[in-house]
Amino acid sequence: MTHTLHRLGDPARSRGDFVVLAMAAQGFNHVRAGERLARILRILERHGPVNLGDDSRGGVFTGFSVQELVEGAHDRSYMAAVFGSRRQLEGALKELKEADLGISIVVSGELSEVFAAAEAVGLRPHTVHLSLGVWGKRELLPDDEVLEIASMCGHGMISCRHVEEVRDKVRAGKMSPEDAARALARACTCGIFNPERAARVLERRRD
Amino acid sequence: MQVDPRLCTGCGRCISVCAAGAIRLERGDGERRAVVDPDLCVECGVCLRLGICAAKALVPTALQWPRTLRSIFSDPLTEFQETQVTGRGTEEMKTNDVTGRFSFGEVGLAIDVGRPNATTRLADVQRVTQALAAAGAVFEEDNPVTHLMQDRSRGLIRPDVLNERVMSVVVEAKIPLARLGEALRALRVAAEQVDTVFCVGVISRVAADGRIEASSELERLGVTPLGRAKVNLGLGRPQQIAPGEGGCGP
Repeated sequence: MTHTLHRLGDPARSRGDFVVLAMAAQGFNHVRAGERLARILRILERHGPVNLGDDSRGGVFTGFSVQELVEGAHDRSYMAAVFGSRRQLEGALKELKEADLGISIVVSGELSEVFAAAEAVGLRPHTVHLSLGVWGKRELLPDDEVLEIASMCGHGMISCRHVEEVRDKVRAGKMSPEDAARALARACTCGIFNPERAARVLERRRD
Repeated sequence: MQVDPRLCTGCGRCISVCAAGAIRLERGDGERRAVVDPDLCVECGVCLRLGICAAKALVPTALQWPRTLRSIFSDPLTEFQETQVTGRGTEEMKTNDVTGRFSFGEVGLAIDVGRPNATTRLADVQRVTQALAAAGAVFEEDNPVTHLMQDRSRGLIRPDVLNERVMSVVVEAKIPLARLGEALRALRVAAEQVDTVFCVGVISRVAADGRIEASSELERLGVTPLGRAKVNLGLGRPQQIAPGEGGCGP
């Protein structure tokens, strides 16, 4: 499950793109974790995420309401929320720390930004997962814009050809960047795709 | 996945959403129809979930071994029965504050073969697992790929599954920090051999002073991580589980 780590693309846009993940450790603290994961989802919702989901079921762009995600939370749920600013991230982390639910919380984002957010709310990072980038036959990859959008669904559910298709529509004035981003977000089942970041990439094409 | 030719209207809307490039239009009896190439289809299910086909011509295939592996490594909603975890790997560092899976003095390696958006055959995954095994890495017990190995000491995957094409696979292993350089050199060789791409991830503990333990070794090796990372914030803790006490289930 490294699907949020290898988001590629413009560092400036990356700095405003944080994914918060919450999951119980099976065999260690999973008993009645569903109730606590539901509370975590509610906390995350309060801080204005641009996407929200449960990896084991789906997200707000795949047809689930937040209420349905909360009611369906179970011990193996794997909650995710995407925030577009450090202020929102810090707000969510502060509340999660105060709630003290004993569930692991992981933030995926620019390392310096995440460490700064953790320090601001008095949390001490325990373990990090660093990305050393893409190796191998890079000529198989699409152009940088398409890759920045498609790699936001680390499971590869967003087809590069679909990104190219909506980009062409945005360029031709037949689709807004926001609608294009929402159309792409529907393919990401776990709610980690950042539609606002995608729209910003596509916005350049409208100019 | 299959297309029912009696229902398909040949509109072609399903082609662009297929992340594996497995759908194409063919002309037969003067009519255009979509067809799914079973060799290229990774059984991710995204075309069906999106509801893109108004004629409802996309039909899931009943999967038999070893094709079931395609779904396990491609559809995020498919659970790997042995670990009861969805997705392509394990909890890895995300619950390390509870499990202690990764300690000081060692690093975790998470190699995403086929990612981003390239897909992979399991034969290319084996090139990576062989490289890691030769460098002395120990594979994660609960990882689906490890379950497919017939010889972990050599990173050999059972031969009957090697031609399966999947969206991506996460190879997970651990190695002493002092041997990280060996592993990365072996992966550089594997990178020249594979017909796909892979993302390389290194997992490290953070010291009390905020120093990432693997940073100095990576610097010594001349390797600079990208700016993005995943950070476990240490909010998890184990609980006492009474014998026979169950969870609330999915």
